[in-house]
Order: sequence, then C-alpha cells, then structure tokens
Amino acid sequence: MDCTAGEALIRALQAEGVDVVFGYPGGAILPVYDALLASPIRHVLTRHEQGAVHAAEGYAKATGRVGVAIATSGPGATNLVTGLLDALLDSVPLVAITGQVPRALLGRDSFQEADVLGITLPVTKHNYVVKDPAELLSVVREAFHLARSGRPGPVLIDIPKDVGYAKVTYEYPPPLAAHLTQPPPPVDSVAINRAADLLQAAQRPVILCGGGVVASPGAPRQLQAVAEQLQAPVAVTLHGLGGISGRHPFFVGMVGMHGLYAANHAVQHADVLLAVGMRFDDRVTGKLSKFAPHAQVVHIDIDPAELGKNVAPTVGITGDSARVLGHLLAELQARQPVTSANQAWLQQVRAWHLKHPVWVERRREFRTPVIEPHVLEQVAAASLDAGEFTAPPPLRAEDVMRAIQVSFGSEALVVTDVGQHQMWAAHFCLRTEPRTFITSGGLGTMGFALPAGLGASLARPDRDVVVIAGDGGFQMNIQELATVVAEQVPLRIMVVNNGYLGMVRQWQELFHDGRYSAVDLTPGMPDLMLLARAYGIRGIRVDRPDLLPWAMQEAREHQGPILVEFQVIQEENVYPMVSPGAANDDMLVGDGPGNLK
Amino acid sequence: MARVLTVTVRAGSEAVLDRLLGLLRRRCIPLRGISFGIARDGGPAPVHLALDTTDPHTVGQALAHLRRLPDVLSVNEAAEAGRERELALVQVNVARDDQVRLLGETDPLNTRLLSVSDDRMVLEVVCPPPDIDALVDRLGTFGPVAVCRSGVVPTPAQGRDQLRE
Repeated sequence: MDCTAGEALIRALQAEGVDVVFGYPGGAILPVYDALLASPIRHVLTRHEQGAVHAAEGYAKATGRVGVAIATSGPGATNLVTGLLDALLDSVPLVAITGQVPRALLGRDSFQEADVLGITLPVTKHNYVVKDPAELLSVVREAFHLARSGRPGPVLIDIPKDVGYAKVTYEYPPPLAAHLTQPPPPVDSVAINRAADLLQAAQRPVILCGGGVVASPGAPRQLQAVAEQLQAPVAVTLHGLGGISGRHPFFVGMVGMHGLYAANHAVQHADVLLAVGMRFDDRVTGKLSKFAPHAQVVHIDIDPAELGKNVAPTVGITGDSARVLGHLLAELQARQPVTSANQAWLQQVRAWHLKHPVWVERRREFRTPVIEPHVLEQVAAASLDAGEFTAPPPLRAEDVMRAIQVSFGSEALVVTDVGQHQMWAAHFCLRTEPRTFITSGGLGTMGFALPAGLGASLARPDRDVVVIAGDGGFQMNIQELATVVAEQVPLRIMVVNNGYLGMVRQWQELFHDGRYSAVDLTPGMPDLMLLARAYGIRGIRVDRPDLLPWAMQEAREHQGPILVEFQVIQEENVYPMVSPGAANDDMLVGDGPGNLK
Repeated sequence: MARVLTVTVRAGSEAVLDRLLGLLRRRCIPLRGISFGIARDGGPAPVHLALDTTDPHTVGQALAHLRRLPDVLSVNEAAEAGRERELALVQVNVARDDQVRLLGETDPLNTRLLSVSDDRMVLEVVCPPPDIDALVDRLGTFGPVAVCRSGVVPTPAQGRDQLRE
C-alpha cells in the first residue's frame, strides 16, 4: 500500500512494538509528526530534546524495550548527543529519529542543517541517513534489530524532509541483511570447564555482578544459583544493583570508588573473581595495576571487545549472561558441591561488613547546617518551654535516603541523577529485583533523573517511581517539570539540596585543600516551593529529620506528581571513598566509629 | 613495524571510512596507513589498515572493536608477507654512460624503468620504506634525485603482486 515515508515510519514503529515516543517537533521532522496524529502511539512532548532522549532511556532501562526519541534537524538533533552517548555507555536500547534538511539542500549550510551522521558517529552503535525513500523501512528494521541485539545501544536514523514526504510502498518487516542474522556462537565449553575448575578450587571466590546481568532476562536467578552453589559473596557495580537481591545473605554491596568497605575488601582479597556483564570501568577498579591483585579472573560478557580491554582475564567467555551462567551452573552442579570450604571466607567478609556497615550514626560534626531561621526560632521556643535550649538536629542526606527506602520499599523504581545523592542512593536504596535502580553510570550525566524518571513512570505505571536529584542536576533539565504535569505522571521528585555541587565540593575539600571553586549554587537558587507552585505541582520542604515521616507519607499518598525538597547539611561527604589513583582497599571511610583515616 | 588488518565492509555503507578511522582514533589505536579497494558489482569492499603497533593487546582490541561494527563483514590480519609497502617514483639525472650501471645496481629491488632520456631516468619501486631510503641514497651517487613517495600503503601479499604487475 502506498503512503508517505513518514506514515510508513510510524507504522513500522507500531510493528516494532513501540507504544510511546518522546520528542520535540520542528520543520524538518514535520512529515513524521503529521503521521503521528493518526497513530495510536503516544507522543510525549518534552520541553527539550535532551529531555526526550533521557526519557527514552528511562523507558528502556525500566523495561528492556527499545526507547524512541524524535527530534528535528540541526539544533534538535545536536541536543540529543549527550543522551545518545549516555545510552551508548550504559548499553541502552534506543532508536533516535531526526529530521534533516531536504536532499537538495544537503551540504549547503542550509537553515538548521547539521551533519548529524558525522556528529553522532562516535555516540551511537550505528547510524543512518536515509537518502532513498525505498530504503527507509529496511533501515528502520535494521535499526531496531541493532538497538536490541547483542550488546544493546542507541541507533540514529536521519531522514531528509523530502524523503519523509516521498511515496513508498509499506511492506513490513523487510528482510534483514544476512550478516546481521547470524546466531550467536555456541558457548565455549572448554572455557566453561576451565572457569568451573578455577571456581571450584577457589578459597576466596567473589562474584562481581554488572549491568549485563540486570539486562539479561533470567540472569539474576542464574547468578544467585551460582553464588549459592559456590558459597561466594556477591558484589555489584552501580548498574549491577538489582542483579542480585540486596537482601540475599551473600550480597555485600557496591564496589569501586564509593564502594562499600566489605565489597572492596572482598574483591581485593579474592583469589578467583567471577565478573559477569561488567566492563571493569575505572570507577570500579580504582588503580588498575592494584585491582584484585591476587585474583584469577573469569570474565563473562556479551561483548567480546570487553574481554581483556581493561583487565586481562584468566578465562574469558563471550555470551549473554543468562546463557553462559546457565552453562556454568550446570557444570558446577555436576561437580562436588562446595560445602564448608568457603565458610571462613564468608565470615571474613561479614566481619569487614560489621567493621564498616552502610549506616554509621553521627559520623562527624557538620560545619554549616542549613536550618531556616524560623525553624530555629520555633524549636528554640519549644525548648525554652520545656526548660531546655537545643537546636534541632540537622538533616543529613543519608537520613533522606533511609527514609525513602523505608517509605517506598524495594519495589519502587529509584531513578537518580549524578553526584553525591547517587552514591548515597546506591548504598541505602536496597534493590531486590532488576531494573529498579535507574541511573546514568558510564557518562555520569547531570540532568538525567527527571526526564528518565518520566520515561520510567510511563513504562511502569504499576510502580512508584522515585526521582532523586541534587540541586545542581535538578536544575539542568528542570523544564521537564512541565512535561511531568502535562502528562500527569505521578513522579515522586526528591531534591536533595545542599546548596553545592556536592561531589565536586567533596573532591575540592579532600584533594584541593578545601579550595572551593565554583561549586556554590546558593546564589540564584530558585525557591523550589514557588517553582513547584508555578508548575502546578505540590511541593514540600523538609529541613529536620523529625519531619521525614510526615513528608514521606505525603509523597506516598499524593495523587499526582510531588516535589519534596530536602535542605540537608551542606558539607556532608560520601564515604567510603577511594582516592583517585589509589587501590580499592585504600579507602577513606569518614570519621565515624572504627575509622581508618 | 606495522600490523596490517584487512577489513571487508558492506558495499554502499554510508561513511564507512569515517566509522573505521573514528573507531581507531577513539580507542587510541595508532594508524600508520590505509588503502581500500573498489567494490565490484556492489559486493564487499576490502579496506587495509596498517596499525602502527605490534602490541598484541592493542591489535586484539582493534580486531574486536572492528568486528562489532554493523557495516563490517569480516576482519583478518594479513599474513607476514603482506606487511607495509611504499610506492616511489624516482627521477635521477644521470648521464647516458652511467645508465646501464645504475640499472644493474637497482635490479635487486625489482625496480621498473618508466622512462629514459639522454640525461635522465625515471624508476618505479614498491618495497618497504627503509629500502626506498637506501635506494634513494644510492641513486644520489649518480646525480641529483627527485622522489615522489606514496607513503606507507598496507598491502596483503596478493595486493603487492598486483602492484608489481
């Protein structure tokens, strides 16, 4: 049947199972937007293209399905770039569709022309410019296949405006190119045997769970079975949160720069490390030459290029996590079970955990608590009435995280921005299932959380979605509050306001002798309660710990979006912390009980 | 010393050279030279990449990352015989009396005589860059020399034969 290429594109999206797209229209993408009008696909009009691409990421991360973002040519397309790279580094299945100037105007510096193919080459898994309308449907088919197959990633389709209006015959799906349909190679049975030998003989095994476990259906269950078979502790990367239940007795928490004491020590003392679906990012390894110095490494990853990229494995196995873990589990189960050999090791790991648990009361006195004068006055008056004079205890970000966890449980989807609150959330928001901790890991994109939470909430309306952002990151895509309101998305937006770019300030405090340079966000900081009111969102401000239960109840019970601002201690640091260039067991642990430094 | 990779790419791929070169630059894999063939009848086109490294880890990473590209059909490392070569055109201002002696001295390098006059000869040679340096030095004893060099061209064995032909 003949139709315009724009109409064919929308029908192809439907055929690919797309139910929501996030976008922002413009001149060059008009043929696509015109076709959207008659489509059952829900279009979410974000207030900036970066919001669209992060929303598509949030949708994809919450479900595993392909997220779709649409933008016009020139600035519309270039505004996608950060989100595309974010998706590439975090292996997010995403298809971006951009308009382009008509073919006859290409290469002439036309209005809103940009070399989108060239600009997005290094930030996509693949990209296309459709110069022949007859090729459009093949390109769409291939783009979705590439986005979701193997190691997922973002794919961009750039469509000149006149191509969008051209007549095409709609026949979908067209066949894929032969070289793209090759089945994955069989799992290397020799390598599986070698891995099983190493793990069976290990005295101090550790499993390191990455985002590849979360992304692979069935892999979390297989990973837990392997851990139980080996009696091995399981540490996770930031993206591995939820790959094993945080309540499992073998779970030891996150590793790396802000990893937990027990997790980092376990990895550093391991004799065999089973790393699954992770890429030995520098935030995970610390100083590479001192990472897991005693360990033989078994590395499983779907991407063969990851094997040996950063850490040379003793045994490298290419394949989907669930598939390879299934083979490994079968091989281990066929052998003598590990019974008591690893108990001493597990006890050692537990001892490390008890030495520096996640939650440490009152680590330090804080220098500049943020308490509004009227609160001080009220408390002072009450205290005087009671015959004493004490200020209320300041609110700590860790109090906030703990309150979020207690109030929303592990079933909620937690979507974080980037910075200190992200690390606190990783420590305190206990995840028990995959795809419930959504964050920007590889690129560390401030401004991610609000639009990503929007996408996640539309993808999973059955779950509470809690957006956690700092006062810096929140302002980077603050315009998406309008989208949240327009779409009536019941986000619980938690802004942890310490008046600083907290993580940068922490580095300046610890490694630049406290020379704070350009990190103070208080000048010009808008009143978030007035801002919430301006957008028509309920707003709550909390600046004392005793108000947390009330605020959380309000957040839980409110119908519709709600913004909760927590005015927390300004100069609180995230611990543990591995100094840049140090080994992972050389940690700063703050100045609480049992401190090392 | 270079390692030569032969990459077969899907014909008609948009910006495929940008993809290959961008990948190598992004991964900090040093590239010394590149040559590429012509796709016949819309078929796959070969691209030869001379990597400026012999480090097995770097070469392994190059192979692995190149194989991930959707436009790449295959990647192979060329055999030892097919390592880097350079094409040079050499003009020597040499008197007629010395021309036969000059040809005798350049014969072991498989030079090819392109033109000759009473006071001048033009030779073509394909060989490793150090051999060209040595040839130019030697020809300098006959008279003033002008050289035009292609730069390193990665050529698999058969490609080199074709060049000679």
